[in-house]
Amino acid sequence: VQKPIIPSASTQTKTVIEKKAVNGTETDGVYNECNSSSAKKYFLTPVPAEGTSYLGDQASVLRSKNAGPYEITFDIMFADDETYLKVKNCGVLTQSTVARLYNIDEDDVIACLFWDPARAFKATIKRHAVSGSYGETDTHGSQQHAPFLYLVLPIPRL
Amino acid sequence: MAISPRKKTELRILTPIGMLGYGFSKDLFWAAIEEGVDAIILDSGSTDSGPAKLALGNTTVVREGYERDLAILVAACHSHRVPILIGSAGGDGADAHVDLFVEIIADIIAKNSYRTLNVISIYSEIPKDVVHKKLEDNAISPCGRAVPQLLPHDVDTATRIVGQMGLEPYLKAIADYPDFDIIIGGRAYDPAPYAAFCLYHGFTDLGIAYHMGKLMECGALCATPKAREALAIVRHDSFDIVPLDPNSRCTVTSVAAHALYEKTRPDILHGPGGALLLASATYEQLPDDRTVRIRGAKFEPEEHGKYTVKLEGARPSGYHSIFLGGIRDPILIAQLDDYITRVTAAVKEQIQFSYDLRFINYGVNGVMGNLDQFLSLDQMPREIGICGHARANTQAEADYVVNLARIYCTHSPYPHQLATAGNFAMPFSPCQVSMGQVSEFCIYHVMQIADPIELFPIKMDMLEGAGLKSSIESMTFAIKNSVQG
Repeated sequence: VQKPIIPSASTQTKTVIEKKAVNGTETDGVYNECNSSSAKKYFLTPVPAEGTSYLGDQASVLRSKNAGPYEITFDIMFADDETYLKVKNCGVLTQSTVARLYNIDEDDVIACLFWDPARAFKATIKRHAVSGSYGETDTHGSQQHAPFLYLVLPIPRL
Repeated sequence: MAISPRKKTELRILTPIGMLGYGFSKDLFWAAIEEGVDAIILDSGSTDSGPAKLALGNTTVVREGYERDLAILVAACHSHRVPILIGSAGGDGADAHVDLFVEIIADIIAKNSYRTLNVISIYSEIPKDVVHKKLEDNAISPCGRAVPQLLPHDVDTATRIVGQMGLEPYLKAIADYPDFDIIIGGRAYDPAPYAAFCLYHGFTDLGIAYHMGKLMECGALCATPKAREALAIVRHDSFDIVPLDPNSRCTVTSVAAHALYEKTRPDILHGPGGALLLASATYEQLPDDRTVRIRGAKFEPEEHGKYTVKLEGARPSGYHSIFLGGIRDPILIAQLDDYITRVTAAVKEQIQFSYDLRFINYGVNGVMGNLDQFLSLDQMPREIGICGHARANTQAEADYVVNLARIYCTHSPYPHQLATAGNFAMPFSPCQVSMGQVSEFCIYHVMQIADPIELFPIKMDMLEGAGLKSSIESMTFAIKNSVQG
């Protein structure tokens, strides 16, 4: 199993300010369009290494939210069985990966499982500050998902 | 427990919105009412927006929001005799918020000269002596392993403690007063009013009743795109769920995915008296392509005598003040950590009383704090937003700390400084804000109880056009002697 790679901050996504033509129409380009000849559009930059992709490339939903005031939970869903099974079977999404992504003890990963009925991966971690108390940075817990976006998978982009 | 004398082959349950007070479409609501529904059921509760409600007595939505939504619901109850069941009044389910909802309903009835409505209140605040006794008896444990053990101090300092009732108090209320019009519940397990209504009408499969309630308590959040108004049709072996908004549809995946939302895990959902097991649930897309039929969830009751309710409590924890602003100077941004450390030390030198001071640095790790590993000095942000946040025992002390911190943040020197007139761009004048009390959750525990009903007193008021006319039964702590309706 390939170890997940967390790209360094300097290679994280960069906002592209200039306007970019997509299919002949002007849009506000807030991402780098990659692989524009394919039907599949990728929004995350930089382009991952050959033969790999980001979890954010594969997911149709990738979000965080409180699960009660003491936990934050991550829901990652996939649009079709093929993508879901590829991600599930590549073996990267494990309890230790979640702990490493958030720099926490594995013991503080409270749940970590795939949920076939919804083609989803779910992980739940302990909050560092109880929701809304002094020291809080995100009362709803809804902006804690970004590290998952950039998790590198040994699955090529299409 | 008595059940309805009128046998129905299916129940149609309307939820116009997943949170009372958030607003919904009047047109979709009335169209559903005209087609016929057996009940309007809504949840009003959440711990999501923090501890301030429980600690300080706030509500999730301002009174005007509740008035707007309740006016539409009560109109339908008046004209079409559709019963309304509401859970977790005001967000936290505090007794005062149950009374607030009843008061709003009384006003609506009076203003519109509606018929007399029978409105039931179910209270959920748990007296502290009960909680202390249970704690001594080792009958209270943390709700999940992220929660610390409960201490007597937590019980003493909580502003109020609510217990999350199961379906039983609702079922008793319906059975005791079968001609009720509206039930306003205190803190309730979100699907409890749904499950109670199903049980009363003879739909006794709790796997189906709770699973339906789990989905419906969020309205049409389980549809795609997510929507507000939802209809459930409950039968003995299955239930259907469909959004009322024609631009939205339920799909097998969107419905199955809802089990993930705000839950620790999607397969085992613990609640009062047992757990809902979803691994065996099946989802079938109906030919209209926007309704999903659901079967197969199992409810596993706790073993006899192990019934638990979740307790929730929060307390004030000092007063806080903030200031906001930004830094654009790259020389200062490059040494931000050192600068903040010096500002912090300079404040400390001037203050004798105890306080907390932190800086939330937007552009660095203001959103994720220590969870963020993407910090790196080789990617320097162009500008940094800073929120200085002080907490102390009084508002005056918190104001004093934040004032000093802002002054030092604005005027302290730093190495290689070129911009000597000021370091900190402030968008507002006055430059700081007194924030009132800070609060924090201190109770999130499960408590074993012998009787699922006794801690949740029930009363019924007949609300006539002129307002509150009579109270059939005043609130008592134990309702065992209550008059059978």
